[in-house]
Amino acid sequence: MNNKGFYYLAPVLIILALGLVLLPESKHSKELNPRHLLLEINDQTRFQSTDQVAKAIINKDPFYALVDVRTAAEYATWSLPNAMNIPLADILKPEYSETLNQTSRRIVFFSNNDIYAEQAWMLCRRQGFRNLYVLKGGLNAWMSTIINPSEPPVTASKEEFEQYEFRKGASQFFVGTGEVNLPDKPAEKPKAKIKIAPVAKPAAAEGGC
Amino acid sequence: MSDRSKKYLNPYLGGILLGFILLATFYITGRGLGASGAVKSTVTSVVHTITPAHADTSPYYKKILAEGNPMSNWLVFEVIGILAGAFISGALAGRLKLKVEHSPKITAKRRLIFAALGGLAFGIGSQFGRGCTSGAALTGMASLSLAGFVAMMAIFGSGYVFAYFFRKNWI
Amino acid sequence: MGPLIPQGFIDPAWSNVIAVLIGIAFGFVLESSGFSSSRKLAGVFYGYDFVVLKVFFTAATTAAIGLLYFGYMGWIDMSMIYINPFFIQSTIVGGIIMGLGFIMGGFCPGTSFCGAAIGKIDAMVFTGGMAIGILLFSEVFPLYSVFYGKGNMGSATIYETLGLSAEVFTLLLTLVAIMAFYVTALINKKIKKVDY
Repeated sequence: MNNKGFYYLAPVLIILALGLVLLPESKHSKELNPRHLLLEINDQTRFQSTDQVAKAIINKDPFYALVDVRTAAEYATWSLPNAMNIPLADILKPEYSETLNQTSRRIVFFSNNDIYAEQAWMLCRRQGFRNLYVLKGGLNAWMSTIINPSEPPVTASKEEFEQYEFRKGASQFFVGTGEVNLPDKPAEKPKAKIKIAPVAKPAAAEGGC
Repeated sequence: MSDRSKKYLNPYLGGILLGFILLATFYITGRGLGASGAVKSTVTSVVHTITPAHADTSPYYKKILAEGNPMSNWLVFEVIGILAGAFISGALAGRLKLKVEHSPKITAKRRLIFAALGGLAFGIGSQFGRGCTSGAALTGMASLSLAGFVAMMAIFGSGYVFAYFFRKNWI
Repeated sequence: MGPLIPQGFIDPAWSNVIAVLIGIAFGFVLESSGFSSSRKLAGVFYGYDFVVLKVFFTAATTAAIGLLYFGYMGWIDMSMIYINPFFIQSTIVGGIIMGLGFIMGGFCPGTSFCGAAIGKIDAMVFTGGMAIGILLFSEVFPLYSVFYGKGNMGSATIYETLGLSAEVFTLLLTLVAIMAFYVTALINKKIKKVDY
């Protein structure tokens, strides 16, 4: 009855749909609109607290990928366990885009404070990458909350005490038993020096195939 | 039947035109079409006018009212357009006629009862589904949203399951 | 670059006027395709008239392909397109109830407006029923307000959920639609004709 239209429609639709699949990558599609970016900056959902990241490291959460955006020299001196190093200056290099442009893990950028980490977040987010986070307060906050947590006053809430207990435990985990008050360079951190961190390996595999 | 269908647009052509309209709507407003939302706005407005205290405290109305004056909701104006457009089309095709359309095997009264029940169910269902076939399913599918496809499958799947029980009304 | 109103190219004051114009086009096309007739609409469930499937699927596929092309050419910013959020339980339950409503009433909201506009009393009754249904839902809302908000998966897209790219999914959608058109044409031939 109305099938005549079908014989015109079907091939046209198929060709159009096929065209979408076969056309090369558009330069327009990937970049994030500045207005959208502003909304995200304001809603602050990108922040991960030091407690959250400490928990993830302690639990060996496979869905976290820590990225140290400081220079290679600073990274070599000390960094968070299992973190990989992508200096801010290199963050747009194609060799890192496979690692950063993915949705399977949460990528947490960190630096000494959080300014460089924020810049890294912004640069990557602008390219449309997702699941990107920033360690709020950076390594400085890490020191003052996890490694050297300050005891809450007697009047503090139960949650604050629980958090303090967690932090004390975490501090021991990261530093080794006993030593709580440490200078910037904790005793030995050979594990931080392993650049080919387990997290970095999948990146190599993705690049290959 | 073929006589009747000559007056109706070829469904594929209708589909393409509808697709263009949907595309234009997205291009202009960033959102798609809708229908049940307009009824929701109207109901909320009426309740608000008649019993404002109740509307302001009842959780569902409160939520809707918080989104701004319901009657200036975009969908309400769209529905005004739908009524006008359908009227024009009907007038041009000579289909304007006050009547109850029903299968000859049932009475008009039975048809109206089921129409009311169907409307009731659709009113409730569209609130759970956060949209109806135009808003959630059609628009959702065009924007490739998961909700759109699930809604469409749920609506039509359930329709097919229930069809057997109501076949006397239609065939 | 679209979408025009959110990006500020068209004054929002115009948006209601545009709404009416779009509505007129929408209503006109729906009615012309026969969506003002409940018996035509119900035909998709009994196999005697597949107009609903043809129009629906064609429209969704055309719009989806169109949107992707617009995005490709940079005519529209796809990240600003509203993706309706997915609440698992609520959407499925709503869909099931709507399906029941569809088969009982023979209309859905948009088409009931078309039917009402050309004088179909059953369409008007359907619309009235819908208003009452919404009223009932709102009054008893606290009973299921928790259920209503459950399972929020946000603005999930179907292609991401399936692990495909938008373009590949759309191609598959197109193929499925065309197969559906072909199969329903065969079914239509086999089914006993209904005179309406």
